[in-house]
Amino acid sequence: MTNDSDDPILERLHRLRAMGADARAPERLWNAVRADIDRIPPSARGGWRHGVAIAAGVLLLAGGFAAGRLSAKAGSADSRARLEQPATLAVQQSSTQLVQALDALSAVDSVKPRVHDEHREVALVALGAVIAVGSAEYPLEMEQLFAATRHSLERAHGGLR
Amino acid sequence: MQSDASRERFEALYRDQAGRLLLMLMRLTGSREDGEDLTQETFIRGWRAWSSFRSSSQPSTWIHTIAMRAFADWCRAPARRTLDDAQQIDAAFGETIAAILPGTDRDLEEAIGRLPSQMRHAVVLHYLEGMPVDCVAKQLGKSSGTIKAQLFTARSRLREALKP
Repeated sequence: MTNDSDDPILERLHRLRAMGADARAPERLWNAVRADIDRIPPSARGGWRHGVAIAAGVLLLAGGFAAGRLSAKAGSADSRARLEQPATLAVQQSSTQLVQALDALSAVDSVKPRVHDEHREVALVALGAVIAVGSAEYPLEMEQLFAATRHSLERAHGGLR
Repeated sequence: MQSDASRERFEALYRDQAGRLLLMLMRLTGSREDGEDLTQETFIRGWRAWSSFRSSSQPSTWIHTIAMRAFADWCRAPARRTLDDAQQIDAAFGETIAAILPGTDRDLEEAIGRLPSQMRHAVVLHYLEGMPVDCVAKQLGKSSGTIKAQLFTARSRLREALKP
């Protein structure tokens, strides 16, 4: 179906393909690419750094839950209520650090925000998963968990603007 | 940190491949602006990953793969799915292509530009980029049979459009 050598259209398409190597991008495009490249500091180059930052943030968050859960298990049922406050603080601190790490990356590497949006989405999904797992394991009300996380997200964003 | 030599090698890659990639991306998107944006995006993504690039593979193949991923992302953009084909094509498509490829077959470029986008993508990747049908199918998320049928129909349409 695609190798009919008698087809004049195919001949013209093949000629067009052969000419492709002669295509030249305008100089202004290189200037734009070069300007973007110059804006990317060495520390921001390499996609693995985004992954490390996100993983570190998620680990921090998970660590907050784990610490809170261990504290709660160590105490009696009556003392759990008193442990809710430090656990909330741990969630706040962990999620704040995660968001700050993401925002710092976005600020440094602002060439294509869409790329960072993708990382941010992944991070927020991970954050949600950790919250879900943590709240199932830890005797803290879901509403309190989400309120604490939302508060720290808002505070982190507000502080950076 | 990347050295000056590394940067020079990357610039050489740009000089060698940018024209060809721009041509391909303009033909695929049907727009000079989108083609240029995607070319720029391709090389920025390439630069970010440049330090991890292994010289055992061909730089041209590597950057081409990045360009195809950038194009796939472009296709997935929600706004793109709501546009019809007529809106995606520059009015003077042949002239637009001729700006970066002087001496091109403008009539044929115009006719390719007027093809429905899915069909145009198949024609560009298979006939103008030399990609095998099964690779085109994988890239566009279709079956090989669908791509073959699209290529067959596209050739008929081009023949009709270019009839003297």
